[in-house]
Amino acid sequence: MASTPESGEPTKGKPFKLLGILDVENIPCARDLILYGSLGSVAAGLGHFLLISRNRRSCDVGVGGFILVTLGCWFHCRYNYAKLRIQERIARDGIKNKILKKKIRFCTKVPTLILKENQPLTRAAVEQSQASEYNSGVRIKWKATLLRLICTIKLSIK
Amino acid sequence: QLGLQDATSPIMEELLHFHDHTLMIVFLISSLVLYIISLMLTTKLTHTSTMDAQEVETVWTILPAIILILIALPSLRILYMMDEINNPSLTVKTMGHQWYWSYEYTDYEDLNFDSYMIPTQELKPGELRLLEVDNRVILPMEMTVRMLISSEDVLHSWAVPSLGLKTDAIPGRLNQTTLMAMRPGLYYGQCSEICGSNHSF
Repeated sequence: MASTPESGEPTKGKPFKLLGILDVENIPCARDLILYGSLGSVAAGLGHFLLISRNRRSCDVGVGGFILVTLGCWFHCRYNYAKLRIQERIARDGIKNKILKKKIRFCTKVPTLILKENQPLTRAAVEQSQASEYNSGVRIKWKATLLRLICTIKLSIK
Repeated sequence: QLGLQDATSPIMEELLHFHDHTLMIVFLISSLVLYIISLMLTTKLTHTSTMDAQEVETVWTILPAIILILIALPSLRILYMMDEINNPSLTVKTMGHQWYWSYEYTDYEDLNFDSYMIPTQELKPGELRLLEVDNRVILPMEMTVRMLISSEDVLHSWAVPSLGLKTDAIPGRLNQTTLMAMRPGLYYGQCSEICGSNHSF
């Protein structure tokens, strides 16, 4: 919560709120949005004035342009941001699973072979034994984590 | 601190994004209203008798309906996401008391402890006032944890803003919530239902 960020970590910018509502610094896409909206508003208002030469109506068109351009850019930017987040999550889970698999394989890579009674020593039997070692390795790992957690809690209780 | 805390769970991330989305809509509506007010104050046109205004009435009926739909759709999505069925790896029971929480980890071993808030006079330098406790709840990260919340006396509420959690602790009733912390850290919460003189103290 109110912790000082460590060196190297991205810090949250000082909040700058438009109309006291929209934090332009810290909300993703907000800054670009306001810039594009302002640009669209000026372009629409100015273009309308150059065509029609009416002040009030051009101001109305400018405000309307600001709202429409802002809304359009908002949905577009948030859609792309959501896609990026999903890709990032998939990549992170993939990297984690790969590391986990390598760890399990390393931990369970012992020169033993667990075969059922009277099971002949064939290639299929060796692969099945390795697969069951991997699965039991994963189950054992999670149970060990939770038991370690319980011990940590017991040690920390005053 | 202004605004919501950084998200630790996927649900809180979604809530943050929904909050940004709604604020954007509020900002646009406020800009429009401010502009219309400034127009009203500076216009020379005045008309004292009521006129027929079908077009503007149609617009200001349909437009708010569209805006409400734009807000409601993501809101309902998150609401149903919160109720998704998952298989928790750990169950922790928490009971609210006046004025402390007690926790029970009974999945693997029988472990109970009480968690009292550290009084302001006993805080060490750097510790947060009204937030630090003597025995913290330690939970695994990146694992779904089921919290069963109830109370021994009056209404309390178990809340951790960073995880997007707030569940009432009602005597005689067992409320359930699930959480998943995506990153390690220290997350604070306070009782969120008035429960007597030492509520949140």
